[in-house]
Amino acid sequence: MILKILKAVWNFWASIKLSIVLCFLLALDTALAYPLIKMNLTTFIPLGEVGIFTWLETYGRYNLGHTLWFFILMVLLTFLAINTFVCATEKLWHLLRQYNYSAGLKSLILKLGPHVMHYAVLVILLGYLGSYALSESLPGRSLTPDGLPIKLPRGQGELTLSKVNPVVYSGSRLDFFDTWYLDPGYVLTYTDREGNSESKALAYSKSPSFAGYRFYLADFYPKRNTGGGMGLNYIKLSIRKDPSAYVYIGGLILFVIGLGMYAADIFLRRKKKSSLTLAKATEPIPSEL
Amino acid sequence: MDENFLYKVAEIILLVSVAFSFTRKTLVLSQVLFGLYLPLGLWYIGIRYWLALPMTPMFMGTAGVPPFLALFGALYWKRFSGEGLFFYRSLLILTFIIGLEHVFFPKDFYLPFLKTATFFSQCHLLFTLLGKAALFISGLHALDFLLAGKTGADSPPGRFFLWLVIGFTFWTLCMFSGEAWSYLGWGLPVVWDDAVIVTFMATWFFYIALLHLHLAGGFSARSRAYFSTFGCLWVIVVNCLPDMGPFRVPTLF
Repeated sequence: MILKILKAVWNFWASIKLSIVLCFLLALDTALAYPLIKMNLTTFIPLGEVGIFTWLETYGRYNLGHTLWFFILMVLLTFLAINTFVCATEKLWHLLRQYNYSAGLKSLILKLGPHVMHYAVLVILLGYLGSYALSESLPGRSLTPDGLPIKLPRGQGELTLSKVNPVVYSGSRLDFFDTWYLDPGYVLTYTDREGNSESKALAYSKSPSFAGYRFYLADFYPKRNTGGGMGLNYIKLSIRKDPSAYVYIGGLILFVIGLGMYAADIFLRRKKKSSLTLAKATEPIPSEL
Repeated sequence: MDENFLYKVAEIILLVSVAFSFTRKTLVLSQVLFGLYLPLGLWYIGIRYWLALPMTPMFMGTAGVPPFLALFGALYWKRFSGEGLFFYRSLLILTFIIGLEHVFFPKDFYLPFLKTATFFSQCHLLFTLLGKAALFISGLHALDFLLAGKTGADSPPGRFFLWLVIGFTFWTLCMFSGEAWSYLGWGLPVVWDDAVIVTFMATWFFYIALLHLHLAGGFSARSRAYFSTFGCLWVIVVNCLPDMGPFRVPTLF
């Protein structure tokens, strides 16, 4: 009896039709979210800073009119994760049991592409959840070149900033950008509690990491190389400690590998099919022999 | 040359090409004009990139689609005069309609911003353009299968499925490069400062559902074709309309 119920539950979650329905619902939910986010940006921006559970209890709970879609998204993604795991595991089990191993392993590996993609989706979702739930965020820290250092939490060291080689826009294609810094040329120096130092470049596209923290350049002043020494001279840093980032980045890479395997499988099958058709077409007709 | 002038000239050429495609006598002329449109459209994209580099041009996610759509469609140029005529006409019309967005509702007054001067940002835009164009081609083949089927379909289900896979691959790469850019620039996979982020997710989920419809079995080729055709409308509404700026009466100069 219990086995029967378990099997029925398993079969329910293994349904590919359920995947289709869930994906259409997710598509609809996220499409309808666009105007709600656009009109209420200030509700959603803190999501990355305060963590998902705190956000759901505060911003989410008290603005249900325009955050309900996010709660629905969470439920649908949970269902999709269960469905993906059960469905992919069942299909993989069938493939490994029924595969004709004498056909060679290359074909089997390519056929694993869709399964790799499905498991990658699970890894990505897990990574996102970890990133939004467990990461530590220290927003709004400012530094001035050769000024006072900022200290990392729990006495994990301190940071100082210096300005070395700024790169100025020299394209002369967009007049507005003349004399603007493309790369402000900052160098971030980390000193641990033993006094050991390490320096790394900091720019919009370069986010160095020290002691498990990653440092993002949020803004900087001055924006332009005007030649004078007056005015604002500081940067805004966003600091994050997010080990889950490696999980979702791994998942993204895994998905792309799976997609490549799937595309290669389709390509090889089409090639085989067309060469078979060609061989058939060029085969001599028996009556002509 | 001013890139917007170039775009409008290309759009006029395309309009004449559409008109000429409806009579057999002027079909060749229509194809010649289509051949002229293609380099002009790609030139426009080249100018936008050249102006913005090393940053990424802003709000080109729809304006840059028609040239790529025409480029992918041109892969079937040998069939344009024969069985692929319906596909050719619908390709011209869709390319023209999407181009109208930039002519009447341009959003070209935004300067690029410094955080877009990264490899992943460039990849994100390029894959967006390629993805949208490939998904439109899939929809056009599906439409061809549905409407021109009785008079000699040139688009078997395998063809719109193939473009679906190509489009989905580009779309996935566009999403993932966007996430990599977001992680390197802000430390988060999804930055909520721009609502457009959810429209990318919406289309990704829509096409995952569509791929499963093709792979699940039990769904007829016609029902799959209806969904693929609906995909064109979906991408226009969900991914192209948010790129629209305020209405402006177009002028050539």
